[in-house]
Order: sequence, then structure tokens, then C-alpha cells
Amino acid sequence: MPDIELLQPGSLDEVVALLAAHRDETKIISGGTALVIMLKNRLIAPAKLLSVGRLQELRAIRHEPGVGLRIGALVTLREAELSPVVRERNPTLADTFAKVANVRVRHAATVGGNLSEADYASDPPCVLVAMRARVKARSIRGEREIPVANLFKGFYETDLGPDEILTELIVPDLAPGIRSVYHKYVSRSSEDRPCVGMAALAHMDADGACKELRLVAGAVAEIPQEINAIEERARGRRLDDRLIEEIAQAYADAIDPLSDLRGSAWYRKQIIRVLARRAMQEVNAPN
Amino acid sequence: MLDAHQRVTGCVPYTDNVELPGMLHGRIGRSPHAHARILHIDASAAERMAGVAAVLTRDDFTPERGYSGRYGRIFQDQSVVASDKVRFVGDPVAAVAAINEERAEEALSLIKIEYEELPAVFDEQEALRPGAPLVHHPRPAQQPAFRALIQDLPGGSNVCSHFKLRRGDIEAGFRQSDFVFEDVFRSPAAQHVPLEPHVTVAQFLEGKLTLWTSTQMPHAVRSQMAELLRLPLSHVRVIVPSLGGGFGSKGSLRLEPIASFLALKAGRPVKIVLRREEEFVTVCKHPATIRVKTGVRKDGTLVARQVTAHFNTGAYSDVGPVVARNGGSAMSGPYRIPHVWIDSYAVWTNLVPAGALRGFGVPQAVWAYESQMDMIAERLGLDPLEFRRKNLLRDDDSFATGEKLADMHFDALLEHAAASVQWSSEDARWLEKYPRNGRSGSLRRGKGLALVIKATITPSMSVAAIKLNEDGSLNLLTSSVECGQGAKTVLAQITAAAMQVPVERVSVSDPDTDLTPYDQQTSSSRTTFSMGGAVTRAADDLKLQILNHAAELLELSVADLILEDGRVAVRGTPARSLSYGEIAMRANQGNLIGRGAFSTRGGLDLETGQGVGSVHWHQGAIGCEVEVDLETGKVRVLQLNPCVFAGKVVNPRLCQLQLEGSAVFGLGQALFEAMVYDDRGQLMNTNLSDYNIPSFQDIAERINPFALEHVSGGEIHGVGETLLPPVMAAIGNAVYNAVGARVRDLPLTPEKILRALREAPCSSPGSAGTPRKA
Repeated sequence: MPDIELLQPGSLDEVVALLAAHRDETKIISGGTALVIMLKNRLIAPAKLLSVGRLQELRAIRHEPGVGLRIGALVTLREAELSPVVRERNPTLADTFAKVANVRVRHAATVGGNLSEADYASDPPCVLVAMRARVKARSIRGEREIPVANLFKGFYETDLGPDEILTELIVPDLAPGIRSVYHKYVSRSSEDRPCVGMAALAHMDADGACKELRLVAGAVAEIPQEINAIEERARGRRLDDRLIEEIAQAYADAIDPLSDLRGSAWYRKQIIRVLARRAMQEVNAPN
Repeated sequence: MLDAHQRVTGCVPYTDNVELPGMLHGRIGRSPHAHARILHIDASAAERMAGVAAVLTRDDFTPERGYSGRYGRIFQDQSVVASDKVRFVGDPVAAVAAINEERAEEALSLIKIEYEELPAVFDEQEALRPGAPLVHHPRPAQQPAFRALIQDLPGGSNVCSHFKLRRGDIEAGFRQSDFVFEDVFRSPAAQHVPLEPHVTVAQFLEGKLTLWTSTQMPHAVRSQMAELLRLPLSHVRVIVPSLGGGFGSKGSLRLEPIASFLALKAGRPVKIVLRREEEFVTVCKHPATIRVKTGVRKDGTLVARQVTAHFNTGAYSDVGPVVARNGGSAMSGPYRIPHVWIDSYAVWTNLVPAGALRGFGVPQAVWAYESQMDMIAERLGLDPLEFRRKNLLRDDDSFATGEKLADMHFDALLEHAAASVQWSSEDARWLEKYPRNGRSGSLRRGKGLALVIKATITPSMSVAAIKLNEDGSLNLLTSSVECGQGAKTVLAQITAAAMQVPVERVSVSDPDTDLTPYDQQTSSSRTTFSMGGAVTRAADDLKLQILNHAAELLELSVADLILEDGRVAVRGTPARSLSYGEIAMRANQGNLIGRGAFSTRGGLDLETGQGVGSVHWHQGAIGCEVEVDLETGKVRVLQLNPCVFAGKVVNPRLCQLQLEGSAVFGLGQALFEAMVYDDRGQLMNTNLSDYNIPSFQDIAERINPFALEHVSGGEIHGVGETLLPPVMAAIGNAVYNAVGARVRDLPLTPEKILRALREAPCSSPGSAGTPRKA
């Protein structure tokens, strides 16, 4: 890689100052699992790389009552996957991190890096959208929160400004009785990126009627796909096989999937239907 | 493995570890076009750049400079750097040696090249249509050494070679058949993916070229480089450290020409290491389209087979014509078929050059004929196990090449493979097994079988020398390449056993053409068999010398002496003995050197394909069980049991690993591996994220290798490649057996399976060719 200047700030304050100073000519590197491939393939050619490797901040995972799980941006996917507090509070989230790539990648890749990259073929985004998670972003201008659903803007595009850094992921606690699941479907090697990912959350009342259904498809389009009008069909009704099949088919019909080496648009439609059905069946099972 | 500890502790030196004083780093500039005429090259800015020592373009290969820059194993169709045209996206068009890779890349970006784009052709069948763009015109010259192997052809077409096999009367054969089945099967380009990429270090000193290079063919590299540089063989030295995998990819000239000419021009040593994305545009498995027409009697007796095979050899032929010949000559499979007619072509296109890949054309062949065997069995209502058994080649049968066969073990291998998956006649009740009705859940299981018969390169030659040192230890001098397959271990074992010394007393050399004797190549599953044979003869030679000297020293006759445990002892008086080292020194010999050569003879007639195709035939069978998800088409391989005839196993663990390796290698090609091009011939998946190979999670839950040996002694049969070719058909057959989806184009992606399921109505078990009364 031709001469790239490496910036290695020691604190978050320094990071945002450097970002403010260099903005468009700088890329932030943490685990490097995605960025280095982009550099090698010359998809990006920044003059400077801002390494956050020396930061001691942003590495904590904790649970804050009333807020939820707070996961620092520099937590690796492997740490998040194995974290006792994540496993206890949100086993589906831990399971989602565990499904990314392979253990070698997960040891290096970070939660913040994964979200900032905004690769359409990624596991966590659709789950985090379904869980109504949000991220914190810092810049010299201050701090703001962005719902994950609004974070992704397109292929490798986020709502983050060139002077902003994603600092934290906040995943609210799921209400008691909510069941959730993430289905990752790979069409090639088990270490492949998802051909289709499907996150489902259901909140069933004591009578077995659905209070709320969330269904988010990942890796099928530029950004995670959630269709509220179809989710609403479940409200107040039992998730019987017929309704599940109807919703699954409606998702497949409504989404206009992309084609890539992992599957054509036609194939992705078939898989969206199958995965949506399977995911809903799983969250519908009695507690 | 003898070097296991070194390997796991990272102490094996590879070519990339070679560092020389003043060494430069080379990078290659590549064509962005699939087919274009080069109008103009201006490298002056690159040449002026600080830190750049040499720039190589077509201007370095002019009659005045004295180097043609043309080379090629069989046809001289390749240039060190492109001369008149570029012929695929990635074709080397310039190269730079500089103080580091970054500088070399920067210099490359300053080279101005003006192209005139030409129409390109990518598909092996479209390349044969009249009016198709010609990849090479005029037709490149053939290397004289290959005239007996590959027929030269007239120019004016993209047909690079045409292998013919004619046996019996094909028309009569089809007339005698009750049914004739005709099907087309395709295999895509695939990668070898050795962990170690291609790497070469070239150094010129006093008019002599020394190469450290990752090659499977040190002597072929030496002779081709000597020809390119117009040097005697003695002035080209090829040293080959351990390879981090080869699988055929390192079988011809790769980086050696560019590195050598850069080193010559710069007057300093040059190292070139390919990046993974460059590996993808350097060599691959041949894409192939194979049409198989098979005539069969109602009772399942095979009568006739006609094959038209097109192997897409890409922009440069490399060993493509031999791949097409090897795949073509295997197309009758391990079956008795009296009437056979085979036309197998290598075809030039504007794709990445294809070459040798583990199996050498036979994987494409077996994919076709073993898939069709199951399709025919189903149509005839036969158990595919029984159908195969009925037609197997046995001792004293003739192969399609006319040679009489001996040492055939297909009966035992087929039975073992079938038993390994508990194959029963129930498994052949196609119509009742699937499809989807009446059973809950979406997962279905199925079993599949496939057989392979494969040649080992014939004729072939290996030479070995064993040097006895003063202390009685031995140096084996061999040009066999350690690719990670355990060549050094196995050859040390053979040496130790023959010389009656512990294996620790034997050191095996790396190939070094200045020092180690001739060997044809490390390929074609031949090292243990062929080099092992040479080592055994070298040991015989050395033992005779030792005995003669000992007899003289002890004033006895050789008949009175025996060899044991590194000593020569007097028969009946074991206390009276001399160590090997003592003998060498007391006989005033210093060293004793034993030499042995092992060669095989054979060859096929160019018009009929009749003759001796292989000194012996490699035989294998696979039993496979899969689980298929009806709703997604996703395949999980539950069992993959490779069974091989090994003759005599030298190292059971390494043999087992070869079989497991073949199974996993084949699983990748069966399920996901395919190089994908866009409509301009640009490769779309040049990294291991976009091009998937199997991970440990994908490996079959059970791989149970089996090596059949002679009861007593017998010949060694190589096992490096035999069990890769049948894996794809075994998995394809098992998928069909599970859900009734027949896929004819590799890989068996879930999408293709799902489409096949949608296209085949539940009531019909899919199509199995078009039977017609002859």
C-alpha cells in the first residue's frame, strides 16, 4: 500500500480533533478486517489512516438498567459473543455476533467497525434494527444518537459524517415475553457472508395473540429491510401457520432483492420466504 | 511426517524466505482488456523513476536484443510480456524491478499503454464457431518434444489440440444398443488455492542464472529457461525449497521468465511474489463442456460411448493439450465398452490460462460419465450399484486404449464404497424415495456412488542418487519436490528400508538441478511410485558397492555377507562386521554413491488413441451421503468415503491424509467453487471472500478413507489425485438420490438445485437423458 500516514491518537478527544482536522482524507481503522481488503483492492485510497488501537476507551460492555446493553465500539465481535452479560441479557445478540465470518475474523473485527462499514452482506445490522438498537456518534461538534435503522444509507454508506466516529452501541432490553431469533443462511461455505439473514422478534400476550412482530431481512438489499405494513398484519392475531405463511410470502413479494455471487434475486426471494417462515415459527413457539 | 515439528513451529524455509544482498522486488503490470492489440508502450517515465532498476516491456524482446521472449510447454504461444496483443484480463504486459514492491507498482502506473480493443471470445464452444475471433493467429509453433504426444493442426481456428480415440465400430455399437442416452455436462474454472502463492527469486552471477522458485518441475523449468536465455543447461540452476502446496498450479513456467529477465536487465537479484488476486489470473482448472452419448442394452450392458469434450484452455495452452488428452482418454471410465469414439479438444479463448489441476482433466471427465451412469441406471430401472458392477473392468479386459488390464480391483473398491454408506437396494428405489409428499420436514437424505480410473503419466523417468557419508549416514539426492504431501518423508522411509538403516540416518535433499539428478516432475501421483522406484534401484546399486568393498576388506565373497542395521556382517558370524562408514573410509572411497533410474514406456497412437495409456491404472471409488433441504436446496455432506487401490502403502498416515485431502478438495469444487467472469472477461471473484473454499465446518461429518493393498508386496500406486475426480459426481448423485434434482453444471449450488426441483414435477424423477430406441 503506498505511503499512508498512520495517526495513532491516545484518546477519544484526540480522535475527534484529528477527524475534524482531516475529515475526508482520513479513514478510521480498528480491526482492519474489512478496511484492509478495501485498501488492497483500491476501493478506497485515504491519505491517512486513523488507528483507534491505542484507545483505552470504548472497550467496555455493560448493562445499564433502564437503558439496556451498552457495548463500546472497540469491543471485538468475539468479546461480544462471549460476554456473560450479553449472553444473559440478549442471547440472540450474542448468537448473532457468533455467526459472523469465522473465529479469526471475530477476534479482530469490532462492533463499531462492523456497523460503520455498512456492508450489505453482514449479520448484525438486521438484528440490531429489529431490536431497535441505536448508536452513539461523537465529533468535535458533540455527541448524538442514531437509531440503527437510520444509520445505514446505502452500499457502504452511513449517516455518520466524515468528522464523526461511532462510539457505542446501545441495545435496549427486550420486554419480558419477547422472543427473538436470528437466522443466517449461507449458500456457499459456512464462513461465507449471509446470502440472506432474517431477524424476528415477537411479543406474544398471555392468550397467544401477537402484540408486536418485527421481521427484518438482511443481506438482500442495500440496507436491512423491514416492512411495517406487513408486520402489522400480525398485531392482535395468533401466529398460526397460515398467517406466518402469508407474512413470509408478503415479505418475499415486497422486497426487491439484489443479485450477487451468493444468489440471484429470484433465489433470494425464495429464501426470504423460507427464512421468514422459519424465524416466525421459532419466535412463536410457547415460552 | 519427518518435518512435522518444523512445520508446526514455522521453521520450514520457503522460497519467500530467500533474501539476497541487493535483492530487488518485481511487480507485474497486467492487461485490463480481454483481447486487444498493443499500439504503443511508453515506459520512459517509469524508467526514470528513482529506485527503479529495470522495466521490462516488449521492446526488450526484439531480434537485435537476441531474445524472442516466446515460450510454451507444448505450443510456443506465450510471451514473457505481451508483444503484439494481450489475450486475457490479467495478461502480463510489463514488469518493473525496484527497491520495493510499492515503488515497482508506482512505476508500473506510469507506463503508458495504448490499446486497440478486439472482439473477444470466452466460451469454449463459441470459440469454435466460424468467424469467432482468433486468439492466436498465425498458429504458434509446436515444441518438437511433444510431436509424438500431441498432433499438430492447421491454423485458422481456436482449436489448440484434438485427441482422438477410436475403438470398435461406434455406429454398429449404437445400432446394437436398445437405448442411447445423450447428455451434456459442464465444469467451471476453479482455483488450486495453495497457501503459498507463486514466488520466484532470480539471480545472475557470472553468466549463470540461479532460480529459487516454487515449482513442481525443476528440470522442465531449467530446460525452458535455458532455451529462453539461450544458455546451456549447465548455466541454469533451479533450486526448489519446500512448497506450500502446488496441486498442479506450479507445474509450468510462471514467474521465472519475468523474474529472470528483470534480474538480467537490472544486474541484481529479483524476487516476485504473487498476490492472491494475481493467483486467480495466473492458472486455473479447465472449464469444460463434455457431451456423452452412451448406448446400452435393456439388461444394462454398456455397448457404445461417443464423447465430444471441449476443454477451455484459456489464452495460453500451457499443458492444456495434455489435459484434454488425459481427460479424453479416461472418458470410457472403469467400464467394459466395446465401441468407443472420443474427440477431446483443447480450445483457446480469452480467459485465464488453464493448466494442470489435481486430477488433470479426469475430474471433468468423471463428473460427466459418472453422473450419466446414475441417470441411465434410473431410466433402466436398475440399481446404480448393480449397473456399475455389471460393467466393471476386470483383469484381462481391455481398456478403451486397447491395452490389456491387470491388477484391477474395482469390484472390491465398489463394494467397499457401497458398504461404507450402507447402500442397499432400497436406496435405488428412486420413485418411492422422493419427492416431497407424505413426509414432514424439509430435509431429505440420499446416497451416491462414483468410480474413477486414472492414468499416471506414461512414459516417465526419475533418477535418484544416494550418497553414503563417512559416518554411515545417507544423503538422498532427489529432484522430487516437497509440496507438503510428504515426499521427503516417504522417500526417506524407502531409502532407510532399502539400506537397512534407521530413517533418522537419511537426509533428503531439496531439488537443485546443479546437484540432484533428473526427475520429470512432481505430479500425476507419481513420486512415491516413480521416484520411489529410482530410490530402490539407487539403494541396490549402493548396497552392491558396499558389499563388494566389504568383501574385499574382509577377504570373503559377497555371498558370505549380509546387510543389517547399517552394517555388513559375516553370515553366521554376526560379531564380525563393518559399519557402512568404515567400509567407505577403509576402502579409500570417501563417499560411495549409488545411482538408480526408473522409467516407464508407453504412448498412444495419434489417430486412434490406441497403445499404452498408463503403466498401471489408478483406481478409486467414493461412497457419499448427503442431506438436502428441499426448501433452500442447501446440501450438507454427511459422509464422503474415499476408497483407493494403493498397491502397497509406504506411510499409512500420509496416505490417509491424501485421501481426506482429495475428498475435501473435491467437496469445494462440487458445492461452491467457480471462477465467475463478467461479459467482458473480467474475473469477478479474485479473493477468498468472493471465491469460497471449504472451511472445517463444511467438511463432511464423516470421512472414512480406505486404501486397498496387495496381500503380499506388489507395486506402489500413487494416491495424490485419484480420489478427487469422483467426489463431484458422488455428491451430485447423492443429491439426486435425495431429492430428485439433477444438476449438470458444476458447482451444485443450492440455487441450481432449487431450480431443478421447481422444474422437475414431483411425479417425475427428473430427466435422465433422452432414451430412444436405436
